[in-house]
Amino acid sequence: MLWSDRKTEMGAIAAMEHPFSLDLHTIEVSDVRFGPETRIDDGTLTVAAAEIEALLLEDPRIAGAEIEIARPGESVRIVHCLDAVEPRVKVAGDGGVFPGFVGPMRQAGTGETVRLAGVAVLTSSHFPQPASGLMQAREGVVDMSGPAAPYSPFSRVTNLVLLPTPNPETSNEDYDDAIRRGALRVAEHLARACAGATRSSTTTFTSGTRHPDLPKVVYFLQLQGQAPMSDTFLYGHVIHNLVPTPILPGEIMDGAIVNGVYVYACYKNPTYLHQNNPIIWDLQQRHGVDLDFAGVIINRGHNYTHEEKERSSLWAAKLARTMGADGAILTGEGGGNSAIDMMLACQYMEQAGIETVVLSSEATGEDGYDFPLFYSVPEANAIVSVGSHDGFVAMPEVERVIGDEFLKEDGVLLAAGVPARGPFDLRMYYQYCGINQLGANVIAGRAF
Amino acid sequence: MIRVAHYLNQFFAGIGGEDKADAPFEVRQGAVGPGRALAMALGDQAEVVQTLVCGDNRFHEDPDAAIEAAIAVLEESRPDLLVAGPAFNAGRYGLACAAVCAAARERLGIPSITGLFPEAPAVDVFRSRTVMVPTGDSAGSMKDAIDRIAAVGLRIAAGLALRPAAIDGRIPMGYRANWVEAATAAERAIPMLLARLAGEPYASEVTLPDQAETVTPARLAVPLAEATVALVTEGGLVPLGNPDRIESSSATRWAAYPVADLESGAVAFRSIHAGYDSRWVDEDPNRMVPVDAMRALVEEGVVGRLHDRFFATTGTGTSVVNASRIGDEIAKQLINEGVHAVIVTST
Repeated sequence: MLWSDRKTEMGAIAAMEHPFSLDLHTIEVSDVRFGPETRIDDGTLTVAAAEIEALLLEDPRIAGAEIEIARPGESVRIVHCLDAVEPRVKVAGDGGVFPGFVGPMRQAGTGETVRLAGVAVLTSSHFPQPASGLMQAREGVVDMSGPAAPYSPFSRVTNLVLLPTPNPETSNEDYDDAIRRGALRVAEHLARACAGATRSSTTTFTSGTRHPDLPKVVYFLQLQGQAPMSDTFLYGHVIHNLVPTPILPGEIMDGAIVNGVYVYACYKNPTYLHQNNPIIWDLQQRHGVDLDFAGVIINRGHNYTHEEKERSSLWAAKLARTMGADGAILTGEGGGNSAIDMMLACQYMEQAGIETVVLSSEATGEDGYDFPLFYSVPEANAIVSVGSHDGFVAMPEVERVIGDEFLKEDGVLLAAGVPARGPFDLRMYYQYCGINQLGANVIAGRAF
Repeated sequence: MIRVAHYLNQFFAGIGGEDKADAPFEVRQGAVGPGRALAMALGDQAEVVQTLVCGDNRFHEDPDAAIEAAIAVLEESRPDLLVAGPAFNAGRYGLACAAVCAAARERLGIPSITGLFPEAPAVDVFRSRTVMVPTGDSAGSMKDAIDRIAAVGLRIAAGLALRPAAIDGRIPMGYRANWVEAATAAERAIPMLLARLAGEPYASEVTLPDQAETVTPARLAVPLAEATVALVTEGGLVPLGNPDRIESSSATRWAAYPVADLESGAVAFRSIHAGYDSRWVDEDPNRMVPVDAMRALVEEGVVGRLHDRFFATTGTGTSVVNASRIGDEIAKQLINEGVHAVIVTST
């Protein structure tokens, strides 16, 4: 192609009003129940359990599958929680809703996608092979009612809980891949069956309109990528070599990021929270109102060396500057290692004249008297606390337990043989997404 | 009815000023001086049943005796709440109020509260030991101080748990804990950023330390070729079965193990660290505790000798308090064992 022709083509693209635009349609789900056919009527999602089980059993690495429903307000505890996914289906445009996992590799964040709001497909399972260290999936608990309910954002949605069991011959990594793909297929299947229902709202995520009179805000989203069982996937692939990269808000809200981190459940940013990233939802709502949402930068936390962390943070600040950022919100996933990447990014952005707000977890020690941050820089003077991983929550006895009779022991912090029904005191570590740094929960560390 | 005891100095009890500061400890029935305003503020649910009075000089001449006298009275009367002061910015009176409150709470389990100017000397001394509300620096703010004391006092007398200091209207006690907010963290973050961008006031939810601790590297006391070098790791390397129960995360413990066991393979070592992919270390522990490399350096004459024990803990999610203590304890042990230098391997 001649340069002159290419120029014409680029001009044509630039002339399009919104080169990347996603219409995200919301269908509200008020209840979920089992029935003969998967469909939605007046907000009640009926799920054909046999269909879902068959979808999971398509994968020979999965030996069995049961399904349960947990509703907000019920005396129910879900244990062994792994990933959570919001049902989504692409209804116009190219590709699927989880590129790299379900459907062909296509550009996310374009066309039209339907979401079933108020319901999560939540996987609870155990792994076939013994594991230790970072390679083990640790306990994650959701209480659907009672005093512990606020410690998980998933107490506020109806959970369709997938309970697959592994083929005993399968490796943990293979089984993890199987249940991840299984949950994503189920999520798409549910939304597909309901895509024609009445929509309550549509949100458009575009990269088009600028508002030069409003402050430009950039969102810096740090993702966890360490090893199997502690990885995040971008278009189906691990992010170990990711450098700070601009990404469209609509891509993230359209399933470009899938989570597979099972380190400590309190820190987890499951796929559901990427699909519904609360910072992006809010920035989009305020775009053109009191701010100009200038873009998203993703990055890998947990870079190995200090030099790599410096390199990565410098690039993040540089990108934010090229986007014209006046301010930036920074979120992450994980503990001390990722906190260093985050704080360095904050430091370089502040030094570049970009005002930051960092969402941070705390480690206050058992009695609460410890200095709460793993790492800090003097420039980090606007921090929103998502709460401390230290301390315990009193978990009452519940009527029904989903997932297992016993909690999953993991060495010393969680002992063997704790009946899941309760009562017991549970470390914050195991409260599913309790202190997620995407900001989706209501827990906060406070001076008492 | 909530029964309240009140502690005052000689001035607020109406005995007199500095010239009467040696007034002895005494007990009066009912409310005295600011106790009347306190009774009004507490309302119908509470009654000021007695007032404990002690001169400021008398208290500080022998604080233990004054506290014993107050404790004896309170043990007898068993009030539901002890209020002391408010003492505003007073030095001696503030310390007396806080000390009596701390003793009542710690020794008798009686809920207690005082009111102090946030920069008063007693605040830092007694911060974690008694409930305090902030007041102005002088008795001019008496009405406001009494109202604050009454509001928090009624809650703690009823056995209600403390809420965050900012919500209760208290001086922070120095510890942090989780609290359930109405808004999500994301909903709080964006207004904070917009306030910053508009140059409006905002409050960070975590405040940074005044200054970071700086550590000066120690000087090697002997030439390296004569030095005893120990290996220390936060990589969680322990004998199979983790006999010392070192936590896989948020460690509170450390242990030392014979280098010979690792070298001979007589004992199987495993990493129990929860924060890295430890399979490669389990395969060959020298990858975490490099005994093989150290032996080579000794052989070459670069270092004098490898210490016969290595020290291990887990460094992930560990609180600063525990990490500092563990470091201090290991360092002392290393010195006791005649070690000149260490190599710390981390993950």
